[in-house]
Amino acid sequence: MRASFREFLETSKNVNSLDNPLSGGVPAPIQLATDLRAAVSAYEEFPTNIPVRIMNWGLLAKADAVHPPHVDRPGTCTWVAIEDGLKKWDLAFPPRGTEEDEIANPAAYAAEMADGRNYARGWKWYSVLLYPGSMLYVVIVPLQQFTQTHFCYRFMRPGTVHSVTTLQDCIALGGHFFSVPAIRHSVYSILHNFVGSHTITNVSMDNEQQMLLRIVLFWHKTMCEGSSAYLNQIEQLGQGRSFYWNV
Amino acid sequence: MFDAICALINFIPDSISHVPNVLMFEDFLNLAMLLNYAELVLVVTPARYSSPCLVSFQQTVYQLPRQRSREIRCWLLENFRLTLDPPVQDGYNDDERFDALLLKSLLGQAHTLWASVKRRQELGVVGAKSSVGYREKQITPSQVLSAISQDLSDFPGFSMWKDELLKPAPTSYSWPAPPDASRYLIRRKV
Repeated sequence: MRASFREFLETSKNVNSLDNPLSGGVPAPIQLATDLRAAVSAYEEFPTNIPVRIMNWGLLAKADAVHPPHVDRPGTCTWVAIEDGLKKWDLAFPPRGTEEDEIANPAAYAAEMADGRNYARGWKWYSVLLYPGSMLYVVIVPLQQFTQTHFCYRFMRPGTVHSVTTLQDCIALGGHFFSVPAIRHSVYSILHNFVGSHTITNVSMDNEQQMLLRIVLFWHKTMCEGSSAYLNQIEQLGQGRSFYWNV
Repeated sequence: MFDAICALINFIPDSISHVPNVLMFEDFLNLAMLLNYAELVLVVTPARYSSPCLVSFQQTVYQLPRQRSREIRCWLLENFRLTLDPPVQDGYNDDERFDALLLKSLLGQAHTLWASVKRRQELGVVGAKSSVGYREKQITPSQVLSAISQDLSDFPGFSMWKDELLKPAPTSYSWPAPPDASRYLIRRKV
């Protein structure tokens, strides 16, 4: 269905539109987006394009539009910022202690997730109110690492189960990216999405996998081709913390 | 408001590294899972199963990442070893554990994936589809098994796949758990 923004605002229908050219080139936060960092370099014959329309998007939703429990585009972290209106973003998390096992378990990303919100598996739901000027991003750090890091953006790591209710007509910008602390969750999520596909997500795998594969090439270049420098640096840092690699 | 959103993005501190420190086990796990993904990517790419083959689908795109991921595996084994803290018996010595568990992780993930596709009805899900002519069909377990065998056939150690299939499939995609009361540490080889 095609409509202008005015028609969207004036319609009395309940509309939830997920694919709009609103983003105008706002990329994911470069500080977090390892895929964008990897794309700075070229790697032999590997494609250099970035699937911008997949990774950046805009949301239009009328009040009372509800998006039931799902996970986002396979493997990606998500950020979203509200331009106008109000949204309630409900996020589900597995029980502490079993978190890593649950996130890697295909049974946790099945019909029980979509229909029963994984309550039977002990998952807990939390709500966040998003209003103009607020930004929900994304990712990342498993809770047990929280005390070792300067910050924690934990909300929407790859495979985060969530549902969204629009409380007032809403325009939002957002996007997807891949980020180093959440790469394993990206991989689990891609595997889950292959098994559960449209039962658990609203989109299929597309060219974004190139963004993830490019990270392999970036890491190879840094770690293997730059082996001496890399090994010296991690020797100095030891096992206590991630390092701040100025590349 | 657009400017405000850009300002919000700029406000995020530049605090994460984009390269893992493999001496940190959490960082290593992210690397190991990406290496597995580079091996399995075509198994979970629906376009691979389409007939006729989609013009936009080029398998050659996946060759370089796979080749580089195998080089990273060799580099890891050359420079690091995986130990247990405290040292307990798990069936491996410190010289062979890293190689053995990297292989176990990949084969285990492939096994879990295939077993989950077989369990789709029990899980209540509709799986990924590929196009066959003008129709879309769910990708079958036998197609997935065949894709795994084809794509990993030249992976060092893949001869263990037959033994892997004789065991129950792991219930998750995660790295093999250490023995109770022990944890993995990655150390530089000296």
